[in-house]
Amino acid sequence: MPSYMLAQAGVETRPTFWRIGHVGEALFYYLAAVAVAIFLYGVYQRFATYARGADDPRERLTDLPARVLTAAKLVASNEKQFDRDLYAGLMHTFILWGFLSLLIATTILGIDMDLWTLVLGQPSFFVGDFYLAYSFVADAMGLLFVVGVGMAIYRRYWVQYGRLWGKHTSTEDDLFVWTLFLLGVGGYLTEGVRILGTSATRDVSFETVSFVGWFVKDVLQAAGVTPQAAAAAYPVVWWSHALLALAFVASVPYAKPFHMLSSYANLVTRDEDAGKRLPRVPEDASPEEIGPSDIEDFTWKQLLDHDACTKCGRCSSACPAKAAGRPLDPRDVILDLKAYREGLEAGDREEVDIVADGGTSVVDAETMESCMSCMACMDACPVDIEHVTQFTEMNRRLTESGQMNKNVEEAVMNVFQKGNTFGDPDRKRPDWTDDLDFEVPDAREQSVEYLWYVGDYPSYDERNQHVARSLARVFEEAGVSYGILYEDEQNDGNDIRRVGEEGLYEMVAEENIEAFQSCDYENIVCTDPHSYNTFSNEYEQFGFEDGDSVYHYTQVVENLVNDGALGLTGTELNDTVTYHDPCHLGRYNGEFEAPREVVRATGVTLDEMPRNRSESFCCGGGGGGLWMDFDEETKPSEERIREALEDTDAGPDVDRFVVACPMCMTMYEDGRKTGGYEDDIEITDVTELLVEAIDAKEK
Amino acid sequence: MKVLVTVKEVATVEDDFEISGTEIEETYLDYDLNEWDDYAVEEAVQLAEAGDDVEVVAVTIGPERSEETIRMALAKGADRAVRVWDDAIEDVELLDVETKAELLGAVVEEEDPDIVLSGVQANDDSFGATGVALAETVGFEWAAVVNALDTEKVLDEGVASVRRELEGGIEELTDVELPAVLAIQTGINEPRYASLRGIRQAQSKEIDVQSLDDLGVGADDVASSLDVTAMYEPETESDAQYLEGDAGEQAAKLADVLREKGVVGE
Ligand code: SF4
Ligand code: SF4
Repeated sequence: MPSYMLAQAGVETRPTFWRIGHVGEALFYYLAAVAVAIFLYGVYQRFATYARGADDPRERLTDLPARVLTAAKLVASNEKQFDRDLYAGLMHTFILWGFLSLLIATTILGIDMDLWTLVLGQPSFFVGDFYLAYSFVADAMGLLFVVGVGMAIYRRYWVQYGRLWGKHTSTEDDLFVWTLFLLGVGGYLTEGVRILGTSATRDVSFETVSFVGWFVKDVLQAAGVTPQAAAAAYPVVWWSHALLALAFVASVPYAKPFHMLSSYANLVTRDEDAGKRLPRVPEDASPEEIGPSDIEDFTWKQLLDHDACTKCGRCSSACPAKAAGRPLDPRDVILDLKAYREGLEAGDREEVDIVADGGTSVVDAETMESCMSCMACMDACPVDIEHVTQFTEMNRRLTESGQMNKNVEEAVMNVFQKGNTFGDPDRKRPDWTDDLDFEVPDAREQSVEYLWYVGDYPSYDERNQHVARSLARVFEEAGVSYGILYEDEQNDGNDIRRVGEEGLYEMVAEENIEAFQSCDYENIVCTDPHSYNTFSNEYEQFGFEDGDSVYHYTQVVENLVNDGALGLTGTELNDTVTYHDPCHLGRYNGEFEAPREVVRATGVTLDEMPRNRSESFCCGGGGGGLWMDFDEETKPSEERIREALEDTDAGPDVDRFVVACPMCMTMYEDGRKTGGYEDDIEITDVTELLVEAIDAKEK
Repeated sequence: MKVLVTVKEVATVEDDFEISGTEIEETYLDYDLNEWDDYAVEEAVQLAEAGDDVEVVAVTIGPERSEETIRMALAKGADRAVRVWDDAIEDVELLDVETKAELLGAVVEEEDPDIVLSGVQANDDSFGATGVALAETVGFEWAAVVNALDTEKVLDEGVASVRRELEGGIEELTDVELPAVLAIQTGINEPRYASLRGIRQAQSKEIDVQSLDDLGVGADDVASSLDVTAMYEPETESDAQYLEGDAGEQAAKLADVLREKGVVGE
């Protein structure tokens, strides 16, 4: 063994395959080849499955180098793991970087042994200063790795951290974490035994750079292990470690470790508009072809989604539907689909419907109806699984197979027949303007800077009509050139699309675009973030070209406030308020600051709830939730008002709960009553606050 | 097997309607598939789904506008539709049950179905005799107010084994020989939703328009025996009384009221 002889000659290195013998070495290489073959076959099988999936409507492989780089940055920084959870961030960083370092270290050693010295016949570089530095770094990173795995074990088994345990938690999770742990600890044990064993024949003092291995050696020595005994035991220790490592490599594509590849691939192929821009269905698709009926109807990316899931439970712990006791757990839906596919492949499951009413399908109709399309799951998911897209497609299946929820059906039929969810005649749409002491301009008859899309709730719902009138007053006060569509306005379709009625969505989208196009305007301003979302992100699919000039009213009003158009001094009001980010404005479209600016401009003190901005907690009204009745432990709206009154700095002194969405207004007015908060807090829209400030100024 | 479903386009009236003469102004009217017929269509489609080679034909009497409604039945799974219309029918202000039975009877004769499903009544005029009158006209067996039907027996044995709702909460189980007319009650099933894509696809299904001539019915036969003499909105009279007190007291007071009004005996 040349390397051993080098060590005897006084050069710092370590013997590779010490005491393993030529047969052992050959056996090791053979087993390694087998492990790699099993690994490659498994990976091939997985990717072959994705290749059989349906086409994905989004471009996901264009500009691949940039995608790979972005994904690598996300993985390297662990930013998604740090989101909402410092402990998990540290844990994952330690394991990831520890693991990668050890992988690189092993690769370097392999290059030296097999390529550099064996194939190229060069003298080994695994000696001297290089060896010392290598050993130190490997030992340090290995320690990081073991600490990370230890943190994972502590949290999983000691703390029994809630989100880590779910319906699909199984032995593969135990095996994964314990194998990593044994690999880490086993590496040090092998090192310690080797240092102790080789100390019989040479001076090993330079090995102190392997400080953990050295420590293990000291412990062994203190426990009375002689160098001879260590040398004798070394082959056993080494083989155990080697076999475990090879078994781990072979198992990667067959169990949880595969997330190292699948989750990364998922990040590479992600769609940053997922959820806020839902895919269309082909124009000639018949009802039977819409939404997944079989597992093959999922796109390759969706199958990859299922495999990329790490069972971390972040989605479920952020899900307001789950929190309210609705029968939905986003992680379980993803993993149920995966388990179904694997069950079919293994031949131990019968083919059933993907989604249906009645309890025999993979996913139950009630589960899908429970989803509020709030996107909290997608925001929380560290590997960018696109729950909302898949859930909407399953809603489409329910719709096309006639199994739409009855309450939703009523709202949807109203839109079909009357153009609004209330089922009121369209001639009554502008009735909210009657109580104003000025005429709201008609955008169909004059050219305007802002075409104001008022929306269903502000037009027909009494509470929200007050919001519409407030906004009209703000526009008047600031001298904005604006106008509305009167009877020609129709439901925006955002939520119709999200409950899965794509055909009706297409119809209203086309008709609304036509109504817009018949007007002369520069920008569109929406009262409702739902309208704002679908106009700016989705109408483009139907030929609407002005998506970039669509605004939510808070964005327009922010400019008015900043320009001093309303003449506020910022001292008009002195309440304490909290602000609730609507999902479709905040998480969907990243607008967090404009409404806050406007709120502050009125003089009130703004106190944040712990779940603010992208972590906002849905009111329960999204995804058709507004039209349904649920059997809920605590309504999301009640829970949110509780948060405002208990978890903010001012706590019970918060006077108002400020919203910027008509659906939120409706849900919170309801939650305020049913939750018994009527005397404690008021629900106020941003515009209403502004009008109060204007009135206070005028006094 | 052939199943014929009679469907009607009904008018729904907006809350703040206005009456002109003997009619409600068109602005305040919307049209929809009659609720009971929705259940009849669903029952027919379920028969078709359970059996091989079952054809479902929807038939309506109505103007061109009613094609929108009948398309709903097609979208839900009816194979084709027949629409009966004629200028002579248009001239009649209010078709009576007998005339409708006559017209539908002519279609039944032409189509020769094994089973005819109709709704118990219509949402708008609340006529509820068309089904039975039709059975009488064509000489079929019949069962009214059917709230359960054994699909398999229909398909396998040619017998309609039904449960009927009778007055006073009594239910009757009975077997009806085919061919028969069944008047379907709401709640017998859960009507499916017809998606927009489904409705659009149903555009390609055939709606066969039949005139009086086509059906061999004379113009005189459609003269209705009904005239609308007046149309007015009745004054709503209501008398609400709130009983104070806790549950026990309220119950005692309620008992007194019921006794006083003679609802319950002493
Ligand atoms: S979108 Fe919201 S409600 Fe739906 S599964 Fe995700 S977190 Fe839950
Ligand atoms: S879907 Fe994403 S967030 Fe949810 S458990 Fe899987 S990896 Fe975690």
